[in-house]
Amino acid sequence: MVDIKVVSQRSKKEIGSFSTSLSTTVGELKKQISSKTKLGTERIRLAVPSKTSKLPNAFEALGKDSDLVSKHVGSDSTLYFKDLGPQISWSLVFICEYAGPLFVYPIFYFLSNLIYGTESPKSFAQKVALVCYSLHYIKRIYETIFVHRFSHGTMPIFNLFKNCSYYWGCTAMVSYFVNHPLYTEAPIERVYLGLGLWIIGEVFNYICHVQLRNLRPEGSTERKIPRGLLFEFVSCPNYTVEILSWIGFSILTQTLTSWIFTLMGAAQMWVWAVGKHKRYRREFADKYPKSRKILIPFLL
Amino acid sequence: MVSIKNLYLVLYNVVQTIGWSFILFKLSTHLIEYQSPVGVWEKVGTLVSIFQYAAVLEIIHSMVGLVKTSAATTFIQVFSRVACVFLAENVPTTQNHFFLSLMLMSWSITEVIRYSFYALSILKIDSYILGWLRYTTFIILYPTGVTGETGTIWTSLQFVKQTKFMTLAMPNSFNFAFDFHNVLICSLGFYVVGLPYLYTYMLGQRKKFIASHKKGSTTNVKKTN
Repeated sequence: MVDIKVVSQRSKKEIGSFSTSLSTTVGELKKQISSKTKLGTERIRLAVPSKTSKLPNAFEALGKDSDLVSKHVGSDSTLYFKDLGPQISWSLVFICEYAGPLFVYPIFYFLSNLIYGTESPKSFAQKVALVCYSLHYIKRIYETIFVHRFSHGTMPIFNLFKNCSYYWGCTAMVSYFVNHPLYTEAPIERVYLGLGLWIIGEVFNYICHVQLRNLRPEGSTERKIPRGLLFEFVSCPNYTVEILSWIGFSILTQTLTSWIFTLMGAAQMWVWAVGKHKRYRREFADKYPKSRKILIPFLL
Repeated sequence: MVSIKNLYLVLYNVVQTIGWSFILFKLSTHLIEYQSPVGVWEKVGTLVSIFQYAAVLEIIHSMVGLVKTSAATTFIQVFSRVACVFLAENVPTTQNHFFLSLMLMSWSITEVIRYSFYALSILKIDSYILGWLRYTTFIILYPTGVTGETGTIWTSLQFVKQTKFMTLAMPNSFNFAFDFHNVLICSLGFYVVGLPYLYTYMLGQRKKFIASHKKGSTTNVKKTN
């Protein structure tokens, strides 16, 4: 048995000293801290000073399943505590994010009189757009509940407001113009081209998500290199085809705000993909296929 | 030895100081001579455009890390100014109005003090008077500046609406509409929110400045003892 000192990362004040065995997992230790601080385990972050980073105040968070010995925590070690604030589960955030668009988009389509003051018969492209937009978010909610496996249980509650205002706001921005009574429809061949790209994007996006799910058996947090189909070309093909699907939607609706939404989404996905690609490279080193690009096959 | 980075920053701030001093001079002599805001834009408009548009460089400065201020804050500050200049250039009803003169007077006094203060502090020359002015004049010049800016927006509204200036109406093949008149009205709302925020922020900065100088002077006294 050893005594582990836990201090606040910010104020350096001591939270307490906890008597424990070194084979204990970090999760177990969090439970002890939780009963003392009266904070739920999910909002407690424990960290040790980083050994790899050159920055003076860098810390490395400890995962809840690692045991103390493997993280080189000894009897004279100090762990740094941080309260992450109120937490909310990932699936709940996702469902709120995606239910918004599903509700907001049709308002502009069906309540034309109320919003624009006039009504006009909806064109083919507008009808297709309504179906595409709704199906996309129904698919996402379905995936959140039945397909995705989340490695982190929770995120800070602030993310709920941030993410919801992004998705709900962007939906209003796109839907307002697509369903406008003075909407100009694109030539029919472009509507079909956009629809085709959209279908390809959505189908392959679903395939990628299933591939990722099958990579990680239920209940485990084991990491493997994703393989097969589009994963042979890029690290994050799920983002590649998601962007493709939004490009398709923008072509078929011929709407500036949809292009802006596509661009913002693509920029965010690029940042995530770069991070993911680097993590794969670091984790699997030489085993990771060298020819695999980040987001765009053969190029980037 | 002065680094190239500092040399550039000093040069930038000196040029801006000179520019805004010139604007302040021309503006003051005009107002004293004619006792009227009529003809002000004709006299200083081009200069104001040049030096205010040049301030877009400050956004780049913070983006590439030449200065520590956040790019977002700089962007908001510079953008609102540039937007007002853009209005003054394009909307004749603003040009001879009292609000425009009030705006330019507030800007030019602030900028002369601010840029010369920056230039000197990069060179590590500590001027208490300039520092004091930088963190004191805003108490009056912020409200007058905002009055001038919102007034300029206000005096442009009717013209923008009537001439449909910068307004894109549907139908068009981008499926996009832009109503500049409404955007301007919304921007007035941002001033209502922004002014108290920036004002209290600057009051905090002022406190810090004065506190640091008191501390500085006592340590100097101790050293000489």
